[in-house]
Amino acid sequence: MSGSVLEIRGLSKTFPGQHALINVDFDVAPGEVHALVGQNGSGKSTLIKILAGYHDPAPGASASVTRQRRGGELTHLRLGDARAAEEAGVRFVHQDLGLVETLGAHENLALGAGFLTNRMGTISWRQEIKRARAALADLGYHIDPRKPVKELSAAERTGIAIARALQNWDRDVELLVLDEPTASLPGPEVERLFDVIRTVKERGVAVVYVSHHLDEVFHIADRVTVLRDGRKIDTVPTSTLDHDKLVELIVGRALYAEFATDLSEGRAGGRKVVLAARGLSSSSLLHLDLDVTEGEIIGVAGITGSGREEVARVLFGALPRTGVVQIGGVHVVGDRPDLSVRAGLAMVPADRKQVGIMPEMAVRENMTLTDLQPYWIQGLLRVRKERSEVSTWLDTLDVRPRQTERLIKTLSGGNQQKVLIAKWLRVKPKVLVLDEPTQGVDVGAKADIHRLVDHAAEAGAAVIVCSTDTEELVRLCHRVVVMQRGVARAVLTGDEITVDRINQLQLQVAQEATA
Amino acid sequence: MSTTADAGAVDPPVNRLRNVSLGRYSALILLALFFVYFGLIDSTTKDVFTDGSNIKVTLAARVTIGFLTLGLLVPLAAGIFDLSIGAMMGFASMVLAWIEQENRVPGGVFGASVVTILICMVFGWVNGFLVVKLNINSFIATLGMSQVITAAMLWRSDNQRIADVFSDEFQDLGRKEFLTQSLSVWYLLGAAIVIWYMLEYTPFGRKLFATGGNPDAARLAGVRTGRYIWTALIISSVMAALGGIVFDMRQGAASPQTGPPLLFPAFAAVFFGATQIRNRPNVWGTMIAIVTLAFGAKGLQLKSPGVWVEPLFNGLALAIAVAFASYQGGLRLRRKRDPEVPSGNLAATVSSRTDLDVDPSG
Repeated sequence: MSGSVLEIRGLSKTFPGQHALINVDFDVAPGEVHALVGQNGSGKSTLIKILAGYHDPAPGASASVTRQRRGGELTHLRLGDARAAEEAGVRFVHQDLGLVETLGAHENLALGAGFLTNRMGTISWRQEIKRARAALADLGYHIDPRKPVKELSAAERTGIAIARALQNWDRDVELLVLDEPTASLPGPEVERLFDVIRTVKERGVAVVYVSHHLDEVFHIADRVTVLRDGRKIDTVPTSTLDHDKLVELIVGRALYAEFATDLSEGRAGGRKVVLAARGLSSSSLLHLDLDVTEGEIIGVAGITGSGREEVARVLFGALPRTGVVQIGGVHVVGDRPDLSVRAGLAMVPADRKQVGIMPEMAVRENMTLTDLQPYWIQGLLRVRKERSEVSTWLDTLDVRPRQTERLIKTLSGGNQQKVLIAKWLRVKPKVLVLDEPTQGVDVGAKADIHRLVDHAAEAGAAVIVCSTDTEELVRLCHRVVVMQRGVARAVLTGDEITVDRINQLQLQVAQEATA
Repeated sequence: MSTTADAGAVDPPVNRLRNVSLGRYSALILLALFFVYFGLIDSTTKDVFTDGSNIKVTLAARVTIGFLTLGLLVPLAAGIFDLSIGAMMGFASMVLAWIEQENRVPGGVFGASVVTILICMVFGWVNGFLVVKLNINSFIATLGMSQVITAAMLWRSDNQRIADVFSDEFQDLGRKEFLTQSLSVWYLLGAAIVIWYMLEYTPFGRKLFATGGNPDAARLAGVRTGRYIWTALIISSVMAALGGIVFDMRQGAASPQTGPPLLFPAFAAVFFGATQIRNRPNVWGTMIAIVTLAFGAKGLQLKSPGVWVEPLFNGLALAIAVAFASYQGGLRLRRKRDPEVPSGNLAATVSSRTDLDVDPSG
């Protein structure tokens, strides 16, 4: 097939206990934008990683790149070799852009291409800056290359990463792979990125575009390849597809016609509303309304970038917000976790290592920090009493080992998470917010944590579970809110809560919601 | 469980022994070695070293540094440095002397001391403002503050020492003895007990350690971390003021040169102390570290007099103690990490298995 820039044949990959890719063929035509889509675990990131040389493929795969810029010469591409793709003219911009935040654009570009030096062998900054400014202007960015990258907007940083990938494009670059470039971009910035992609395309560089956002696929891509469960389902021109059809290809089943719309609809009959949120907005949320009654477990679903990842922190007041949050009718001030805690809110954050545990402190100290009053008797913190209560909790939660004085960092992820949940359960919160409660947790601990969440709700707490694990939401929740582009796209109740349904709604394009 | 499972298991009694082994008590062991060597073996020092008056003088000479280390401990628990503490102590000793000189404050030396403490608290408050409100790295903010304080002191004093302003009654408070030791040593012990109580036996102390342990996690648990950091910096300024006042009692004079050079020895003792007893800043580890450093330096000075002995000794002892402690910590980490690699649950399984092993009924 001489019509392709990149041609991959018979690509398979097996991880222990899982077939990540099964005999996948993949072609990219010259100068096209080719979208690669599929659900989490469909194999698209594995494919990209093999191409970039992070993983070795199973034997039997072959790949080649047609070098348009070298008269159509065919280069065999050794898959699984980190340098091979680079040498064959394939460039990558990964989701984590890999920029040095404190350096300017010119230094970041130079780190990729080598520094320009003058006769004395010292770096010629004037030339570096000139080169960077030109490279960025070519992509339509007019930014000061000396400005530290961390002060730039997300789209500008993506632009710098693209500019770095495209250095010497006229000699070397045949294909640019963008791995989820919009995951952290707000709406208008996405448009800017599309302009950049069009510029890249005009240069005759083909683009592989990996994304969860199907509306973007229709916006920018010429063709789309769908992966599901490690197999290639199809490659089709986007012009022959509509949204429903694409979702069907991705999920593998027909789309449901209707879904529940109003947030107030799913309210459990006559029970007291504990948490009421109105018009909550933040950097990634827009006018979210939410009512949770006592004993109810409400799930928040949504792909990365949908706003799901901020819901927990915004509700709890760990991030700046506008809008109203009330607990039992009492107003709770935002951005003041101490007041939230006093009002009866509790949150188990998603990033356990960074903001969850105090790694160098004992399990006991991690657990009791939320309320030390019970041990503060006649002017002394009674450690023995504290220890015995913590010990009881370790028994109840089956935390292993049962050592209250052990440093929490030496526990496994699942046991750490149990301690972090216990630290809130012991103060009997009115509202318990859990963000990715079982991320990086083994199967046994996961089941335990799910039981804990059930018990908390049975005891009367209003529980909110934000999760990318759709099965977890189905297992736990009475209602599920599906987030998309910062708004609550749909609410599922009762029998509607199925893995398929949530996945479909997560991937539905935003335009349809307004139609 | 069957005995075949024991091969890869970590034996808890051995493990526990390892945890309490040499590293955590290295200062005490070192102190004992000093007494054995300088007091019994070395012929040039053994007559003097264990002499009661030598012990008394050696301990009393460390009282000012002791107050500074207690002051450093509190912000350090919250993960914050206070580099202005040396300058602040010197400033306090000068302020007290000036007030005595002018004699305008009612209540005599007691009133003067209160005013001195209040002035230092203002500096501590400003430190807190810089760190918490303006979000300046504490290292930088307090380093800047130390220079400002030094400048104020030099400007007002013209770099002259002030002597002959303190009454005999006041100086007796520092010179007299109680139970064979200088009174000032007992003041330090009292302050240590207060700080120890505060850090280990109050919710305030616990939240301070939580702030130092992970400020984000502490904040999400409802701790107002900024407030704790701020308070810690004010407490350290009070300890600096007390150090300055006790210094004046003992010396009967104040000099603008006294404070700043004490910063390193104080830090050395705190860091050394943080490797002792338990692996975080703690009062008794620090007190032991001060005593050990004092007698080690004293022994060396008796052997080969010279002002260079003490800083050299401080530096080496600190580096060796911290290296020793982190080497042990590293070993512990490596032992824990292995079983964690395949699955989170395995580590738990291994440990619970060993729990069964120590059960006498098993």
